[in-house]
Amino acid sequence: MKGTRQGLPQNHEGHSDTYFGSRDMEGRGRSQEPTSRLATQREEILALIELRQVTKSYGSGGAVVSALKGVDLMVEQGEMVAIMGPSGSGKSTMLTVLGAMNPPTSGLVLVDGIDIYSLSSERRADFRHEYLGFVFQQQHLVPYLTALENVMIPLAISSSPHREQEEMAAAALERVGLGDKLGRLPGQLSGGEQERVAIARAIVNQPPIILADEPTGCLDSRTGAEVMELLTTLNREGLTVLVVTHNPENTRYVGRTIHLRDGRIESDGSGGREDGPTRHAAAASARLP
Amino acid sequence: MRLSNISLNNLRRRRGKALLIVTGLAVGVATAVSMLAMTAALKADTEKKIDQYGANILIVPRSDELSLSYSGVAVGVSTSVQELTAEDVESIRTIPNSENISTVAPKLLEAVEVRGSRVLLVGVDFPEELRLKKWWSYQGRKPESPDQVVLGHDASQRLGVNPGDHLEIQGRPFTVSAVLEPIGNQEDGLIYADLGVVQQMLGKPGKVSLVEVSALCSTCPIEQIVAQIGERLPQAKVSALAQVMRSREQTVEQLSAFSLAVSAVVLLIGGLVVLTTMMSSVNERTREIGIFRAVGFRRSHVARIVLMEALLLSLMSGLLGWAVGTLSSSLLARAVAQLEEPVVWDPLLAAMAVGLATLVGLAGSLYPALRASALDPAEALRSI
Repeated sequence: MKGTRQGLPQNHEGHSDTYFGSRDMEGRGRSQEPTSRLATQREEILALIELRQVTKSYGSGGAVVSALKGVDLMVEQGEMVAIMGPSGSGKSTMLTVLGAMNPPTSGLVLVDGIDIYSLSSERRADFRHEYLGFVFQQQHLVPYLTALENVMIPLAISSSPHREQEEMAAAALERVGLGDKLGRLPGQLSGGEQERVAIARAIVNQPPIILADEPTGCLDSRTGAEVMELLTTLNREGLTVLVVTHNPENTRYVGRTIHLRDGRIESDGSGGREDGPTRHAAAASARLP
Repeated sequence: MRLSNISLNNLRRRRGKALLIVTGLAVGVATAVSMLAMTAALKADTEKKIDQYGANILIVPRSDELSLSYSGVAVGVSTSVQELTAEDVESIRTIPNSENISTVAPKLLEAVEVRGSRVLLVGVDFPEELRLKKWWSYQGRKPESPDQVVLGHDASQRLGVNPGDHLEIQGRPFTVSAVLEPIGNQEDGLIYADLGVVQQMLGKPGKVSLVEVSALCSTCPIEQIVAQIGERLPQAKVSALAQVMRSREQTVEQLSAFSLAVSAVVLLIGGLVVLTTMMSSVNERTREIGIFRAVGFRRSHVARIVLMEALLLSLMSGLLGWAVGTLSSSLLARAVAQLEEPVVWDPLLAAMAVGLATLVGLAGSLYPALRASALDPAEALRSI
């Protein structure tokens, strides 16, 4: 399949196939096939996500704040990466830049070979729908929709029948252990359960990449550990997961840890997981100043 | 799940805001509907009442000469006048707008000698004449047979007769059935008799001197009816008493313009209620919109959610406004305006009310929808 679905351009290297070239931007109710491909190709060294000299500044005139200062980063398909750093170090900015929601001031952001900020705003929306699943710190569930309906939100703009959407959403909730709470409103769920609903919503569309912003920030340590375990499971199933976190405990679930400070990558090394750092982590570390 | 489910769920959740929008818009629509329904009823009522003031079309035989009278004072006698016929009178009711003609009152005029005085004898079709001249009040009774006559007040004084008296006209005996109360115009000096009898007495069977017509037309100008009668009667001169008609039309037009102006103001206020309430709703939903955008909703998807909510509320407002407006105008027309014509439950007005509400509701929601769709997802999620 070509990287020109819904007008998405060919990848940045000029290949007609993107890495997830077989993913169908229209296929919002598609099968498991793309993630299966992900799993079988994990041994290939290909950068799924690449940041090249990315800078991001806020404000203007004398009040300019640089959140990212010339960041280079490569993340392979199938990696699970923790992005750490103190407040104001640029972690959340990096996540929103990667999330196709926050155009960088300069530099290039490539995902699956696609220069995402060369896309129009509407095409970027399509891109987010197709490639990314977001898990936010405060879950950001819609309070007047049930757990099942919250998970169905990304499917609302698809053409798949309601029944199929329900089945997909129920399967996603089952996968995060909430198969018995489909009809609950967010207010009737615990914090940990709400976070799981948010994760189910992030994966229901079967995106290859999960971006999580402080997913354990509002949870107690036990529930936080459960959420990180869940993300780890999804990563083992083939999804690429980037987690912004304050909590050093969370590094034991990841294969690679990036520390940011003052908008720059301070360190890029292995995480605490037994399967260890990826080859790109080592390569990236070597490029650090 | 569809975008419409999101809209519906949001409306269910924010019932207060939904109610505020429906109320604001429904009040505007109800005012417009009420005004329009009242104006229509008032128009019908005015037409009916104007009909009671007599004829608005006069048909006389065509003459080559100019009129020789001014304000009822004749200064000469026209010699070349041809009379109209009974067939002419019947053909008046065959024009395309015949349903707009309420009364056709033919007359045959002739000056006659009665008890030593010259009096103008008018042959009339009494049922038509009495319908045309509802302002007549009289002593005595309505004429019921061809040998009865009605006298104007001055004529009865001059001839010294009262209701019930006998009166001989050109050798034919009549009974005075009624004497009119003073009117203040030429009718005070006339003798009214049955048209057929007068035609026979004068040796002019089937002839009439003039025809007075009362026509009502709320959907077409009176000139149209005049033209249609003129086509049927090329030998006659047909003229509208334009002053009466224009005055009536002007009154109704002014009333319609006033109604429209009031309706526009109230609808504008309704639109502003929609605008502010929808803006407030959008502001409260910044986080939700951020989520929608983050998971891949296009701007157009977000705008559609907001506009779909507006559409649903507008449809409800339109129907509610139509029902309330028609009901209130129906009550007001009878109780306050004392109109005789009823206010009708008009499905066309219902369609117009729904259309109007939709137009105002969507127009008021357009800016909030655009604002919502333009929200930066990163900014929206950060703002919480």
